[in-house]
Amino acid sequence: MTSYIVRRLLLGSMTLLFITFFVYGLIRMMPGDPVLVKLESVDPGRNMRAEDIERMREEFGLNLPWYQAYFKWLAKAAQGDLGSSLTHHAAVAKVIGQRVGPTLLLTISSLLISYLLAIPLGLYSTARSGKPDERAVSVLLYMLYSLPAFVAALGLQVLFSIKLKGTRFELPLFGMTSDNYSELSFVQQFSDLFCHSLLPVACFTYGALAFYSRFIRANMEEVIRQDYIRTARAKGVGSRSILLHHAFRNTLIPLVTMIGLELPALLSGSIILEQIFSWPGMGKLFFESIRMRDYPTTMGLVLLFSVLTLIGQLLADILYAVVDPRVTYH
Amino acid sequence: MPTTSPPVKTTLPRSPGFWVETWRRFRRRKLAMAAFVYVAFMGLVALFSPAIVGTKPLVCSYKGNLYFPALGYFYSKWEHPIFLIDRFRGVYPANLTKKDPESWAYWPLVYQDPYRRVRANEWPDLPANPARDTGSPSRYNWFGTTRSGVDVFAQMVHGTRTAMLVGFVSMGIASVIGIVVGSLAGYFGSWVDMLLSRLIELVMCVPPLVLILALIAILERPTIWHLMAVLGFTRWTGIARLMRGEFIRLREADFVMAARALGVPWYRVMYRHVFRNSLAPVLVPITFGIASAILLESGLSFLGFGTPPPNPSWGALLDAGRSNLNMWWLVLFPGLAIFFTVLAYNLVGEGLQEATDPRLRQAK
Repeated sequence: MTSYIVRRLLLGSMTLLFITFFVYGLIRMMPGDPVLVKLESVDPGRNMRAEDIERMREEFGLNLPWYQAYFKWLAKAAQGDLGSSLTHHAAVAKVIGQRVGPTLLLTISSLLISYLLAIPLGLYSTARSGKPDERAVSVLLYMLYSLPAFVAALGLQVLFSIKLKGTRFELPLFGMTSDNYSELSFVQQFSDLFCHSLLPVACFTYGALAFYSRFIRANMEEVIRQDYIRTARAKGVGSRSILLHHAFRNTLIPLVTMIGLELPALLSGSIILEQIFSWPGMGKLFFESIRMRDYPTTMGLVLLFSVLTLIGQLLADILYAVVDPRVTYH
Repeated sequence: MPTTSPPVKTTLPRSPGFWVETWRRFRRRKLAMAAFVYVAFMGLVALFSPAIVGTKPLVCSYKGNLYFPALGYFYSKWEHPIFLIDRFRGVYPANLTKKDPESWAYWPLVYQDPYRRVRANEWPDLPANPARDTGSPSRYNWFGTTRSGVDVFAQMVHGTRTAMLVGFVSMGIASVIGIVVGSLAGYFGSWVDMLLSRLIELVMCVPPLVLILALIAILERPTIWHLMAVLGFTRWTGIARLMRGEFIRLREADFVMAARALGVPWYRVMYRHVFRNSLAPVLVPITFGIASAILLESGLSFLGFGTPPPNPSWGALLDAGRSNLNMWWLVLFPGLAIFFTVLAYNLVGEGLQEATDPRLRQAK
């Protein structure tokens, strides 16, 4: 097991090198210059002197060819220095750190809600398999699963922020907090945050909910055909007990490994959803940094996402061996 | 005295082939079948979009010659330059009769244009399209109009072409790459597998939207074809992994061993013996892939990274709706179109999965 993990980690770091090299080349080839993009955003009318532009380019390491700049970036990143953001005037690590919280607020609450609802739903649809009510629930879940999140988000915005404007059910259109957030009392702050996060959390949750409950149901369907379930039934165990203790416990294996694969999504958030709701999270940061040609921030985020993906895959494989004694790695 | 009857020569009925069997099982599932019909219908809408709604005649006789100006909606060069030379400026009905009284034309079912605002008196009894945010659905503009007065129904019908094209072309590219990479890795194993598996991992590790946004940002002026290529070059990993698994499983099968023992060359073994047997499981992710490609295209258009503006796209309409939320028709109709299309492809994929999976077959 240990040698397996070490081997995977070594392979993973190789993969990481390739990814960062590839992406660095890619983003340096994008047309547009961060210095010029920045100048335009600060003051469109003002003309900078050529030597000022040159000085700024040197400051950002833009005068080197990209492969040299890559190794410079790599050497610094290996020491834990991701450089400083071109647009936010702060260290990349700090900028990312500020955005982690809002994204986690969305993803963790959505993960909890979807797991809490998906398990009973999955069990319910297994128990009532084939009955009309189960068919209705399954069709509904399938439709939710196919409903694109950005369509749902826009629909909810039209409904709750435009059509229900002025009623008790009106919800804020976007943003994480109101403008007067700092003046509110603690309870008011909490309710303000709650109202702002209702729509984004709903959009994050429903797809995952449909996916997990279908996943649980599919696994349960496979398990309840096994011989040991028939044995349990033959010796007279009640159907509730069979479902919970004999069948469900065995479907936990794939469910647990899923958590590993969820890890990157937890931190990366969603580019489109955060953009729609102007939620100051990781996805929005990424979108902005690509648009502004903010190379250090983009690279820092790509590095973070790739590391998380690799760790998540490794974690899934390890968890698989931990929960299922039949699986061993050499 | 026992008589031995002469051996009766019976010809067994030919057992149904794999695809016939699959089709028969697929047809039994009503929901999947309905979805399949919907997908076929969408394909027809895409194919005949200029005949359904447009401002260019399908066929017209002009100065003694026959022309097909509606083909210009597929590719602008297919619209005969004579109409440019004669300064039609895209407005056909009045110009045709004015410049050649003898001319005749067959028109699309609905006179509206996906690219420009239809003005008053262009078509008998058709008022000018309302602009700003007053263009709610009416009997002239069934799905309303955008801020600039372009008909939404026309954009949706012509957007079907974009959606279908993106789905099929990008997944076609992805399937070819995925099948080639996966089968090479699975068949040869050892260092080939090692290298190709790392490549698959590499592409999988970069979040898809990250890769796509970066690739599109490189291009100065991305067209719909660039977008399809980018989607195709990033969405093949799932297919490759599945194909690799199938090849590893079938590589050791007896019939493959027999073929190899007979001296069949490797490429023939791969194609005739292994590939054809592993095609069924790959069809399922390809169908789901079409759904996700359509979703990604509309998502990218929504972010403003999609097809360039004059190209009608459901995602671009949604994007317009996002900045004008009180124009609900800009959200509802394209949203429903994307939803139903994605749902239909998912249902078809699901139906295929159940029709081709031998484990589920025995259970029934």
